[in-house]
Amino acid sequence: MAETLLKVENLKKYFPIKAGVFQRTVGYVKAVDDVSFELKEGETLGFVGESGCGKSTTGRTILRLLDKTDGNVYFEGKDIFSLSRKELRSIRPKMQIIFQDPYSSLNPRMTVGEIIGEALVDHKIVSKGEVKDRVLEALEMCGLAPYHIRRYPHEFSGGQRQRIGIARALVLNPKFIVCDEPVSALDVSIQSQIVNLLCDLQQKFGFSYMFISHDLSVVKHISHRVGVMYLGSLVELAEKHELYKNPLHPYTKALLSAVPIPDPTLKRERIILQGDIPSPANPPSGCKFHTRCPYKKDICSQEVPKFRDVGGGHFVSCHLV
Amino acid sequence: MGELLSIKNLKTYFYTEDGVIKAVDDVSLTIREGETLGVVGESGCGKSITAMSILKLIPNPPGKIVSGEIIFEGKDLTKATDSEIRKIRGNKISVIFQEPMTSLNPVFTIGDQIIEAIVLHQNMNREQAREKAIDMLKLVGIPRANEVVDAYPHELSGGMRQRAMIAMAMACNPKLLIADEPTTALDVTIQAQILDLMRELKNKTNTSIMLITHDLGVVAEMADHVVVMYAGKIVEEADVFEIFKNPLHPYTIGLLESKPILNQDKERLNSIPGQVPNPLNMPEGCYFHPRCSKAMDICRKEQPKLCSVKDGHKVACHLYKEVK
Repeated sequence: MAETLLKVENLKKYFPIKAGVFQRTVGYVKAVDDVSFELKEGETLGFVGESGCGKSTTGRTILRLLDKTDGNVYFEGKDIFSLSRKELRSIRPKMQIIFQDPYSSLNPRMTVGEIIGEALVDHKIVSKGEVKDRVLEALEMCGLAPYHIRRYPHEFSGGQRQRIGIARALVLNPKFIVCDEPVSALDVSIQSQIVNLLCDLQQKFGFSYMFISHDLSVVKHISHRVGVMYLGSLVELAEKHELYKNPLHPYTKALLSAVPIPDPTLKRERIILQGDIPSPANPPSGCKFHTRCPYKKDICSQEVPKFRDVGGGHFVSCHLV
Repeated sequence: MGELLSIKNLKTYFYTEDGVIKAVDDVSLTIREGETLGVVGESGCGKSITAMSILKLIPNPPGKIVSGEIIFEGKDLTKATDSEIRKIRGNKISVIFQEPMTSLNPVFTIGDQIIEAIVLHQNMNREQAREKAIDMLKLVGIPRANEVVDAYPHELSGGMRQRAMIAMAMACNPKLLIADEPTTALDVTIQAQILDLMRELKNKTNTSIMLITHDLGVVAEMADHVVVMYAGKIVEEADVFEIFKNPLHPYTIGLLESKPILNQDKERLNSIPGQVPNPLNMPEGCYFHPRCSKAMDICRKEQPKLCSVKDGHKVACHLYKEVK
């Protein structure tokens, strides 16, 4: 069994809502509300959920790009939030992130070589003379050509830019990469190129990914285990085949049944959820899903269901299971 | 089913400083009454420009319909005057756009915007139009319709805004509804709601739908007939069952294979190498040949014509022979 690389315990991230002349805090947006999970070495953990469910905020808080409100994150046994700035900097190369939008996440005034090499120089990972070699190596691994090193981001297409973003993360030889919707902005034929690239790199270097996406089909393809988020909480987490075949939480069921499948002969039973996602500033009491749940009971609006293992590493938080 | 709209050899070009972009290059298609036509393709393939050409919504300059006919109810829309086309727009042919936040006017209430269309096209005063607007909002499943009618777009969620857009588009009982990526900006569960609503409305009113999307799943679910576009041209056309069961063009096959499917496991995704060619610098011959695994000599020299290879199945590829 592979070792645990990352452990997240009861992570919470609240953003204050300020109002009035004195900017007093009048409430909180509970973007991440009590999320716990583990990630093993070489594993891909998929995170799915609709916009505003807190999946990106979870990814960013784990990397300490955002400060936590409560809870703990351990990376290789070290508590990320108790590290000093210096210690944190030394650990940063091991935990990288690939962003969704390849247009806004690359500095337009730097060449590709500078973008990819910057962190190498900054962290003094290799000597100045070696930087170029390492950058070229990373470019090649990501399917880009050596002459691209002198070009600027605007000269590339969306898919190629995403490759630059991956090369930038890869060059530091990380252990853990948060992929925050890396293929959502790309066309279908380009999406599959990037997904394949990520899979190949994982096989070669044994990276662990936290793969955030709203596309359930892509997440299923790339992940080993999948977690489903709703309004800041994990509602279900299981091995991918188990989750897609035997979803237990009503939200997961509805989500899966809503995904259009490219097969016109298929007739499916579809669960159509009523209404919209409630505001995370004012989430419903008890189970957060009870306002849209087709199976709700009295207890659901009163008591928060526990996120627990129902057997075989299948976690779910629902009163009915 | 009778023909409602037929586009013949449409060419819409954009004249830019860098050169001519052939956004729509000799496209012909037909939409029958009560049918949903799915138009699939990647960004920049000309699917939206085709739809916008129908309503003359092409910014001119730099865009221009260079040649071709768009026959709607026996009339060529490319030759229609501005006032004639204005009578059709939002009345007999209406549009739902991708991003409901940018296509609704933020300084008018939802009601104002629906009423405007009704007063303009139907013989009603504002009072009656308001009643009709509320009815339409109820029809598209908006709760508290008599309050929402006075709400501003920013007060509604994305799904609700898209419903309001649909209410506006359907208010004048259009013959043809052009839906340009209507659910791309929405979450999956909301997408399911909107698709369900569109299907229901179509069954009720027998409106034809031209559904533009890049999502093959949505096409499989909604469309009766499908055209696949690549670099401004139609590369394949067939009914929905045929195209998913028996795709012929290497691009269509590649597109279908490159998408992970929820109820199947694939070891590895098949991807189409390379990228869409630069519209200013199109390759010779078949536009797809630099990315095609089956490219032959002829593909580099001669552009294939869209021809019928089977009853109702057309493809533009040198691998297939025309059957008369």
